[in-house]
Order: sequence, then structure tokens, then C-alpha cells
Amino acid sequence: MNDVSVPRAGVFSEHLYRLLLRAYPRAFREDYASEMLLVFRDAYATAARRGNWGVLGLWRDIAGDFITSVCSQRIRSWMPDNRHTVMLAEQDALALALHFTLDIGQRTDIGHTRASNEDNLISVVPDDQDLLRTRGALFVVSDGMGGHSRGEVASELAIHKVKEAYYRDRENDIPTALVRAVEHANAAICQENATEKARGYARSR
Amino acid sequence: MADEERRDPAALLPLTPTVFHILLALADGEKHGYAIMQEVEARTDGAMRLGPGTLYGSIQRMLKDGLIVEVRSRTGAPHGEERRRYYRLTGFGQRVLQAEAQRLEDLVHMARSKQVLPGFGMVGGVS
Repeated sequence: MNDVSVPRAGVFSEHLYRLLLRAYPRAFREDYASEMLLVFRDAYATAARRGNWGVLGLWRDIAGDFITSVCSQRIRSWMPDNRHTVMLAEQDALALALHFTLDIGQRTDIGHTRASNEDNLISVVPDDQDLLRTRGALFVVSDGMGGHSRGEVASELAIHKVKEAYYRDRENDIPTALVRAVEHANAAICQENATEKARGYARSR
Repeated sequence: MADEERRDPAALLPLTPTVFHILLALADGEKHGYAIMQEVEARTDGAMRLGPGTLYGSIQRMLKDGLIVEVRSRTGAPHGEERRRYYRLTGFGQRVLQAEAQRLEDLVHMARSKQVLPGFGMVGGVS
């Protein structure tokens, strides 16, 4: 039984965090999931004392921590346990990529219902080693728009805008840079959509 | 223990900021995970906030490296804390922390000698 009391409003948050814990490799989970949950409860209780903004701030931190630490643990679980991997911290996980040779393959399928394939994907492994070390490789998958007109244009625009914005952004925090890049792509697609509509309207007059 | 004494701390340097701060948090006694997180956040004025995944990922590696050990049962712990795992520095961990602190001090000394920071070379003006 748990001895630590959980604020009622935190039950949902705790449930969500339990779900997130499943993303870690099994061996790591078996060793540390219960401890991580205890830490989460403590952090939640502290954040909740600062109100909703405190809880939101906690989840922002947890999201960043989750992405970097899951990636790091997954990479480590694929690597042999050696001197180089043992001391790497989460922020060095990208540097670890330099020890890999990335063989990249991609495949997409039109499916059974569409006349054209609207999906797009892109993989970017910078030649610049500094850029690779600091920003890593980027893989973007963009689904079509579920039958909306010119979904293939939107998905192609999305992947290129994400790539362009991500590598241009000097933000050190990778999750933040990724979110910004997606927001940038979304804005570009909205803009393109508005322009297309205006053109169509002009043509129809 | 003999193996521990023979190990060269320099082989692990430079430490990552996360590992260095965790070692520093444990320098004055054993702590559980959340206490480590709180101390690191307070000492860095909130600039470094360790999340649970980052913290336990680092702890896992530090245990493997022999820098810290786990102290499972803790007598006299407040109610509800019996199950928590506490961690403390090993002798090797202390030597690694000391070596890293010395390395950082040497770097600061070098920065001062190049007048990047106010210090030796600048006191009383350039002679």
C-alpha cells in the first residue's frame, strides 16, 4: 500500500504519469518506476501549492524530461554497456548519435481508399558534425489531411517547414525547438490555405 | 575496496553537469531522489530542474560507476519514507567529485589569468 497521500486533484495527473512510465524500457522501469512515481507525487504536491500555473509548469517540465530520458534510455538499451555510455547524461544523448551510423529507410503506402498518396516523410542527418551533435538528426512524418483538398501539398509543406524552422532555431531546449518548428509549419499551412482560397475566389469571379 | 582505491577519478572527467550536481547534493549526507532534485533546483536558483527520468537515468549510471550506493532502509525516517531509496557517495564518488571541482577551479583560474574574469591579473591594474 502507498503511504504517501495523494491530493485528489492529482489522481488524474498520477494516472497519466503511470501511463507515461510504460514508455521506458522494461529493465529501467522495474528498477526505478516506483521511485519515479514517488518523486512525481512529491513534485506534484509542491506544484499544486502554487495553483494551476504550478501544475502546468510541472507538466511542462515532465514533458521535456520524459522525451529526453525515454530517448536516452531506449538508446542505451540498444547499446552495449561500455565506458562511453555509462557516464552520458540526458543532454549528451544526441552526442551519442555520433557513435552510430544511421541507415535510414522509408516507405509509404497509398492504402485502399485514396486516389493519391498524401503522406510525406523526410529524414535529415546534417553533414555538419557540430549541427548533428547539437541538434541531432530529424525525422518528420506528415500524414495527409483525410480527404481535404490538396492534402499532399499541405503535408509536403509541413515537413519542409518543420525542417527549416528546427535547424534555424537557436533554442537549446530540443523539445521546445521541436514544438516551435511544428507551430511554424502549422502557421505556414494556414497561410498557404488562406492564399489558395483567395486565389480560388478570385478565379471564380 | 582495494579496487576502488586503485581507480583513477580522472578517467571519469569531465563530469556532466547533472552528475556533478547530484554528487554535490550528496556531499553532505545521504538523500532520496526528491531531496536531490530540490537541492539541485535550489542551489542553481531554478536553472537546473531535474525531472524523474533524468534523475534516475543518472542515478542508474552513477550506481554502475561506483560513484554512489543505495541505502534502502533508513532508520528514523518519517512515516511514509520507509520505502524510499536513499543514496550516498562512495569513497570513489567523493574522490571523483573532488577531482571535478579541482578541474573546474583550474579552469576558472585559467580564465582569470586571461582576464576573462576579474581576478589575479587585474587586481591593482596591469603592472
